[in-house]
Amino acid sequence: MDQKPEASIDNGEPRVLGMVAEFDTPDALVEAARRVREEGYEHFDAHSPYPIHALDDAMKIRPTIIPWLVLGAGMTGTTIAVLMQWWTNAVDYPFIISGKPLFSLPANVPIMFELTVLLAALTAFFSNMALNKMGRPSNPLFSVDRFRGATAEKFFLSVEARGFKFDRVETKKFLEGLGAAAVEPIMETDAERSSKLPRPIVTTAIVLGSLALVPPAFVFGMRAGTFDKPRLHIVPDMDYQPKYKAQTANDFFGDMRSNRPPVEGTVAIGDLNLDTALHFGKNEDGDYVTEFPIPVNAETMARGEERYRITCVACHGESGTGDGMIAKRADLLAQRGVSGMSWVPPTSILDQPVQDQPIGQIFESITNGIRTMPAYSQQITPEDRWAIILYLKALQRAGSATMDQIPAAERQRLNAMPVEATDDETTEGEDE
Amino acid sequence: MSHTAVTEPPAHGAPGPERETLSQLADITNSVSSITEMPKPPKVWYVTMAISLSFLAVLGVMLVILISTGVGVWGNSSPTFWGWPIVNFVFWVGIGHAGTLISAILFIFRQSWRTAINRAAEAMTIFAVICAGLFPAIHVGRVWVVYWLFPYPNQMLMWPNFRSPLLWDVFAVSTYFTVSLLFWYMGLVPDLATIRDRATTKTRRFLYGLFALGWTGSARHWHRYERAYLLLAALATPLVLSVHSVVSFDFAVAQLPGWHTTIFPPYFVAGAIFSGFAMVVTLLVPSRKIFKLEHIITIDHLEVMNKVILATSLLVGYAYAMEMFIAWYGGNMYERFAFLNRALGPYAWSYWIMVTCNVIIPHVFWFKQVRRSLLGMFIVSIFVNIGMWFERFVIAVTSLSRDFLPSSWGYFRPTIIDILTFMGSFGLFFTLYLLFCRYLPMVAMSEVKAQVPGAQGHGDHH
Repeated sequence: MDQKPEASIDNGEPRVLGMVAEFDTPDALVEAARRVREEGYEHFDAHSPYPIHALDDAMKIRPTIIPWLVLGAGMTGTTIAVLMQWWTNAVDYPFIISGKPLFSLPANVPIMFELTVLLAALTAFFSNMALNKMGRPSNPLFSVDRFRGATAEKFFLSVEARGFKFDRVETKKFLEGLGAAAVEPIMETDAERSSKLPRPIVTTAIVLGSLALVPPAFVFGMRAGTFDKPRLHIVPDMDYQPKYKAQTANDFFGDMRSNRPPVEGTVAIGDLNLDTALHFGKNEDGDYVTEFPIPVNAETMARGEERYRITCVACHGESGTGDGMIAKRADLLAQRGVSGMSWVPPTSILDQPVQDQPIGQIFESITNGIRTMPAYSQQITPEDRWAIILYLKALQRAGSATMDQIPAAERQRLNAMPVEATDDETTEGEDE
Repeated sequence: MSHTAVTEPPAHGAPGPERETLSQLADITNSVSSITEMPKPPKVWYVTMAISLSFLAVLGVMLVILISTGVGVWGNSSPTFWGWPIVNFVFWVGIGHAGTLISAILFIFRQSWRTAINRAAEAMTIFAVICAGLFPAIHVGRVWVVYWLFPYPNQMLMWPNFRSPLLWDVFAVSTYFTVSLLFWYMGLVPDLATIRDRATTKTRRFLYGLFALGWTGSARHWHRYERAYLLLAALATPLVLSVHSVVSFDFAVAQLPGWHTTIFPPYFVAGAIFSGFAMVVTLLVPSRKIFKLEHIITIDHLEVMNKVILATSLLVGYAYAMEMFIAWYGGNMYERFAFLNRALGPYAWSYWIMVTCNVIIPHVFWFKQVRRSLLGMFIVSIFVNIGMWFERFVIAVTSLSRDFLPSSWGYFRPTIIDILTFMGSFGLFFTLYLLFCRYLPMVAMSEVKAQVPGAQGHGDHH
């Protein structure tokens, strides 16, 4: 009863939490359970080593909600599977393989089925655990020595001290009257009274809990921070490959070079280059050419513009003044004071020395590179290099033009434009 | 503690049939729990454990060699890129079908004889699926990135290809393993509580108590437990049938002659049940003798198993015949060639081993004497295990070794690493099984008890 426990705490005596009665046969247990329920007890339970189905009726156990939870989980699994397959393979990362459609239900059925079963099964298992409050570290029933038979071949009925009906003496008498082989009180153990977890468990939990935070903190730090070195590559499989690269040493050959020179007296296909003007930008005497070795027309001009925009614009900028994205970014970093930068700004093609260069010299710069600019002979064909130079000459012409050189009609249109929209080269041209 | 009460006659003068019921209940508790409680297991256990552990060590060495060198240590090479690893995978995952089939499908069909064998069969299933999962995991080559198989957001901004049967397989096998494990563990909980309550040392009480999750045998808990268990069984039933169907898609969805056939899913499932039941017989015949469980796992139970083996053998034989028939009737020259090549080509030896072991030998089970002979069924089950490995070998290797272009044809030869890895996987399997026999209840005590006559009461309370 409710007032008794308080008194007993004062004595330091353990409280009585309930009564447990032992029965010898399943029949006796079922009958006792029915009588206990009919007597008006609410907090009671039967315990048996195996399920006894007559108890459900005797105790009037209400049907469990588990089937509905499982149904919900199964349907969630199906939905997740469809959405996941649609989103990952048809939206976020669409790629065509074997000509299969990006999204087709038949191909998704196996995963839909598996996820349905998986989620439903996990729910069946864990909802049973949760509803039965399984995994409790202790249970007062275990303090009754006799109760160990409940999982072997004995049958028990436990009545909790909660509720009006319970009385230490009366309940005991009542249970004995039901034919119990033995009736014992369930006493509160020291562990339960203190209702504290044992110290070692708490310590271990705190230590493990703190350690478990380290990896997520590390990952979060790595993801949120910025680095001046390349990202940590966890799987460097493809980064280091057993192969010889250009300009590396190789013990196999006498000259210790992995690059092999062409066989003496031979010319590789495409390397004949008899047209010195086209291929080297020089005439037979070794002087830079001043005439284009390719046809000069709108077509090559358009080609040159296209190539320029692909290869050159990143550094030299659209107008050729050297304000490409890379140059802008370098300026920005220099302003921020990032250390270890050695940046040579790209040359403006409008500079007078560049304007004065024969086109053959510009060709040589593109072909072999100059200062920090790399050689582009491998990326751009000679014809395209010349087309780029043609476009470059057009940029120079446009960039150094004066207002009165512009046809009257165009000048009017230019004046009508708002100031923001005017291009760089136009404003610079006006300054000159 | 409580098991001392076994010898006492039940108090209050229980009537005769009830006394009989109670002593049977006590006997089940004792026979099964005492295996985990005896101070020393039988000598045979030590001997088999020593052998298993040495094979497991071999597996460990083979894995180190494989991972440190690469898959080139295997015989897999053009044109047979799927060699033993896939054969072994299908072999093991097939064996892993019996447990859940026995637990789930037979549970749904209320075949109460299953209670004697389901626990061991489920354990076997889980260990077989572990062995099975090993092979595709190491077959990917770069084992350390095997998690790429799963769809998770990554810095490569890539997702797996859900239109590929190989990915279906990842989901099918991992789902099957998870559900089998849950099913097995859920069945174990009340039995672990039994062993916890019989524990004489604190350590045992703590460890078994930890995994028994505080089970008290409460009627309210039993009610939810049984409902959840039934649901798990209902979910596992289609799952069992689906796993090997999905495994068969690995082959059937490819356009290779000999693989590209619609009979594969049912044919694979029948084969899986066939091999799984054979493995259960192989394990139970010695286990029940060593651990003295003959009165619980009776000869009647084993006879039923043998009947299932015979039935599935007929199914498998039908599938072999039907493959041949369709190859001829379908009129596709490549299919015809693939099947003639199986039976008469360079791998004919393996084809006829398969037919002999799977189709011919199980016919001895038509005779009741053989079905009930321990030695007889043990020998047949070994033959079935061998035959079913060869079935997968025949399917995987004969089709691959004969490419569409005769210039790419080749003959597959395994390396010593192939062979030792496969043998090592038996070490893993038997080590786990022997540990299970020693430390966990081999028979589902609570389920067997519920089946004892009179266990549900004698009805006089109605």
